[in-house]
Amino acid sequence: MIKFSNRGVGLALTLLPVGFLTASGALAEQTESIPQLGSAYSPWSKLNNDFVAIPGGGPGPVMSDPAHPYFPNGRGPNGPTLRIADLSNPILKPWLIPSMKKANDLAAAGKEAYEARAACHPGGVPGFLVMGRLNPMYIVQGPREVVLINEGGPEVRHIHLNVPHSTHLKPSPYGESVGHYEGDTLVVDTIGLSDDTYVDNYRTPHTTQEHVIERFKLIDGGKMLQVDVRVEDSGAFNMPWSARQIYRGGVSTDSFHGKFLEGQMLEAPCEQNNLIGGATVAPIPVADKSDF
Amino acid sequence: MKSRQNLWFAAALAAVAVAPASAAPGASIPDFSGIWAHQWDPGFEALDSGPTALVNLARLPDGRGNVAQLVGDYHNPILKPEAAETVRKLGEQSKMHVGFHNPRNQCWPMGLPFVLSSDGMEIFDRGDHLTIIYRLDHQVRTVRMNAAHPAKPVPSYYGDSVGHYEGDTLVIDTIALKPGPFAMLDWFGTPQTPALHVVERYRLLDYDEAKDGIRRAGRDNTINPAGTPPVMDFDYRGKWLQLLFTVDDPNVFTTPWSATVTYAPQLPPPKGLGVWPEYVCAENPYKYGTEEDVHVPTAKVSDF
Repeated sequence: MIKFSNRGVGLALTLLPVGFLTASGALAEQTESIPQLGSAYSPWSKLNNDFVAIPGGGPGPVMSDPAHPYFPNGRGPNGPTLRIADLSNPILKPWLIPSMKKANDLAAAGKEAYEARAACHPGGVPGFLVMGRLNPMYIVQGPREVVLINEGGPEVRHIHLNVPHSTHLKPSPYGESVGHYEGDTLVVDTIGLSDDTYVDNYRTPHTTQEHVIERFKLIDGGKMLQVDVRVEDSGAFNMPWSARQIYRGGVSTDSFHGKFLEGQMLEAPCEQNNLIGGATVAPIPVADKSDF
Repeated sequence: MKSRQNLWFAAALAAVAVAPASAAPGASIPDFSGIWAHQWDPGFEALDSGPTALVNLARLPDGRGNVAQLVGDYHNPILKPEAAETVRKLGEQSKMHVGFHNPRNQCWPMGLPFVLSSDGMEIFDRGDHLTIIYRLDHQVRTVRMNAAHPAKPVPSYYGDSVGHYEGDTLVIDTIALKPGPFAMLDWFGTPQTPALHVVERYRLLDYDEAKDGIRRAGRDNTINPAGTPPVMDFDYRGKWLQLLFTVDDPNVFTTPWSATVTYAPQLPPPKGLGVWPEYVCAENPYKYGTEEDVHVPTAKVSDF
């Protein structure tokens, strides 16, 4: 069986024949050594539509322009709005501002507000953590790898455990993620990110120099998952910045009652649920007065 | 006829009904963890005898299948006449260098058994369920272990999959497969209906056993050029993984048929990439049948 070091340094192989695991032994071994962050039956639902600042965490993420606050469906005094980025955030290098302002202007006119989830595009890192509002994230832990699955898409990130980064990387939307456990925390380090994604839903660009560290930790007795993010990108940002996303755990899946197990990942193929773009998008119809 | 088909089907399902807890407590189960790869397309390895998968009638000068032209063998006796005609027509289109839609090139869920042709796959065993991830466009399946199909399963692109271990073999049984807009069983356009039933059997093999799968793969498939991810070592002397799958759809086939897919472990650096090379389908959509590349529908604003 494979034993995991809490320090995430190397693996120790012991006595069982190569190619075999005990039916429950391997899982029990994981339970004893590493935090149980979930499975394909344990949905993590986003608490926040976008990144939030970490209290006392220094420079934080791009958020909504205070003059044009973002309201999702079902919120806000006048119904939903499109995201307009706060361009005064000091993390932003000057060259980012024109493109972000152009995107802001399109959103302000109600014409366009790109989101990776809506476009069936990868969310990138750390954008993966805020992509899509409703579809939960699932974490599947294996002996050599952890995968993060966003039900919407689906989108999948691979985190290779206890190995160093490759020396030569071809940039890709989710880059190369390596990880290890530090006690109760899964620490993920990602480089090799292509620059064709945004870091958030406010359409904040990044370069291929981006380096992201994420720390996944159960809180509130295991009912919640907190992910703290640190982003460095000297090509895009004036300084490293931090952000947080929090997830709420899903329904217990202890029993099977002859139907789909509660919490089981659903099929949510992105291509099935897209709107045709290329034209002015009408706002979601909202009644200006109750009809009853 | 329909009621007789239903009876036959019910019997077939009962024959593969899952026995709970096939692995006794403390019993060993095979370790299928890791990234498994095969480096050929379209991917299925037809058996040497018995009812088996369609092969490509379009051949290269050296006799190997030509993946650039997908002409499924519509003479294969497994095909009912209507299905044979569908495959023949699509083959004619391909011979004219005009491609046809399939779930892979249209970025849709590939379903079963089409997704089994994916060149990379990974199985995560969590005891009461498996999560299987396929490299091409992030396809994901969940298999409930040691469980029974529900009495009225909800049809979906990947259906309802239940699995169990029979000694050294992982057996997965899938029903309730919903045909999508581009649904087909294989790269040749073999159709499917909601009656489709797929049984998969995964087993680790020694190299000497795996060589037969490699031989059949090379006979009918196109081996991707060296260095094309995922990279596999054809001379790997450790454990290989072979999938033997059986397909039945009484509306399409005259008989159940079987084929294999043989995998080697994805190589670590420096020979292989060591990681899972990303394949983002939405970045590479093509429209076949016209000169125009398809535009993957995208929303300019989120609808939620």
